[in-house]
This record gives sequence, C-alpha cells and structure tokens, in this order.
Amino acid sequence: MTSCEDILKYITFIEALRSNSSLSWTIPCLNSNDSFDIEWFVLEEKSIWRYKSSTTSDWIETSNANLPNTLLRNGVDLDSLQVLLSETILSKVSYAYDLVQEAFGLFGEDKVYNKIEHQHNLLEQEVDRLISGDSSLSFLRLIKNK
Amino acid sequence: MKKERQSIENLLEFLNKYSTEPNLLWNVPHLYEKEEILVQWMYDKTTKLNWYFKLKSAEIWNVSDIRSLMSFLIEKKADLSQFELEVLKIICIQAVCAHYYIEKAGELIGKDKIDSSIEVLREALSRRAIESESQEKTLVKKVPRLKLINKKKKKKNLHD
Repeated sequence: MTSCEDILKYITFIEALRSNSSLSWTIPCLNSNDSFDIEWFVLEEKSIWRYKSSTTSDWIETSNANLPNTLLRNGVDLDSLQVLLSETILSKVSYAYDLVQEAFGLFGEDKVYNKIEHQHNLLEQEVDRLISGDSSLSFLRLIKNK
Repeated sequence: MKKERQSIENLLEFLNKYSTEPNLLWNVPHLYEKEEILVQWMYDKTTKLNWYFKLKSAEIWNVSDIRSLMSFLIEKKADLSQFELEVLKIICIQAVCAHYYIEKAGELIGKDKIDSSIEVLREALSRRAIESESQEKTLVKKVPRLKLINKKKKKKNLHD
C-alpha cells in the first residue's frame, strides 16, 4: 500500500533533479470511473504542481508537499501513481546511463570516475538536501556553481 | 588543427544530444588579443540551430550549427584548447549528475528495477553497435557495465 510519504519522495525526486521541463500523468480513482490529471512544469524558475479531475476543466495549483494528501482525499489510486512515477524515473535512468557511456567514450572511463569520486560527498549533500524538500532549486545548477 | 576541430565537434555533438541544461554559456579567450568570444548553447528541437556566438564587443549574435561555430572560432583565432577544456568540464558534470541520478533512483525505487532497466538498455546499445558494425564495418563498441560507486561501502572497507 503506497503512502503519501512514498509519493512525496517520488515527486520531490523528480522535481529536484529536473531532468525534464514538464511532465504529466493520468491516474485512475479507486472507487469511481473518474481520473485525475497531474502536471509538473517549471515556469520562470518556479516549480509548479497542479491537478485536475476528469469531471472538471479547472486546474488547481498546489505544493508538492500537499499534492499526495489532496490526491488521497479525492480517492486517487496512489499505487497506480507510484507505478507511473517509477516509470518516469526509469526512463530517465536509461537516458542517464546512455549519457555516462557516451561521456566514457569521449574522455575515458577513469577520468569520469575520478571526477565522480571527487564530487561524491558534495553531490550527496546537495541531493539529500533537495530530496528532503529544503529547496526546489535546480540540482545541476547548484553543482555547476561550486 | 583538423584533429583538434574534430575532437571539439564531437564534444559539442554530445551537448546537442544529451545536455540536461536548457542553456550553457562560455567566454572563450582569444589567443592573441584581449577580446573574448561568447558562445552559448540553447536547446532548439525544431531548427537544430542550437549554437549562438559572437565577439563580446559585437551586438548581434550568430545563430548556427556546430560547423559554423567552429569555423567562426578558428577564423577569430579563439583559444580552442581552453574552449575544449571548458566543454569537457560541463560534460563531466553532466555525467556525474547522470551517475548520481541512477544511484539515487536505485535507492528510491529499488536497485533491482534499475539494474533490469539498464540491462535492457545495454542490450539495445549492443544491438545498435553490432548493426553499425555490419553497416560500416567498424569495430563493435563494447558496452561496459556501469559500476556505481558506493562511498559508504568503501568507507566501511577502510575501517575493516
């Protein structure tokens, strides 16, 4: 059974690492034929989450912290949402893997791994901070500015 | 010069294909004069003209592709070695971040799922390399396993 805390971890991860500029999902409700659309996008450096029921045409903006509870209250199937969020992350994993492999080809596996090790602690702190929800700043931009 | 140009073009192709940032900016020094050349990359899926460049003192940006950018840099006698170094740095940072994405995604949704997803991609990449080999009669690109660095494990080993 997926909890609101689980969903919050997933959406914060997606938001913090900002590997897309916008994403959307449609999730069924548990006890009706309705569904909910969820969108995430970045507008003028601000991260925005919004949702809409299939029975209305109005989008409602919310924070990432409030989104899981709001969806749960509206009878959204959180298990289905977790599966969709996992798929989103997995598609990016493939992309990230391809990127790393190409980088190996360009300037050598050892050099890339040395850099990874060198920056490991710094990255770990930044990612943990972002995932814990302290900030919604771009992960990559933070690293670059160091 | 030809080799250096090809090498930089490969790096810039990488950014065209993989950059996870919407835009990037470099101040490329001139080899002999104080003037700098500004080079900017901005993602444009439609026109594929992702490269903006100009002398710092100029008002109008040139918007074109990698080949034109390189011709401009060579014509203006930009310090290509410095530019190459800066581009490599960006690629390395993006590789580090990609590596981190994989590691953190593993913690969140389970390493098994990540491994199987990567396995599917490895097979696809190997197939692509074999197809490319049969078409171009070039060597098969070996697709290695990605060895994720586990710092905690390493620290533990040190204590042991």
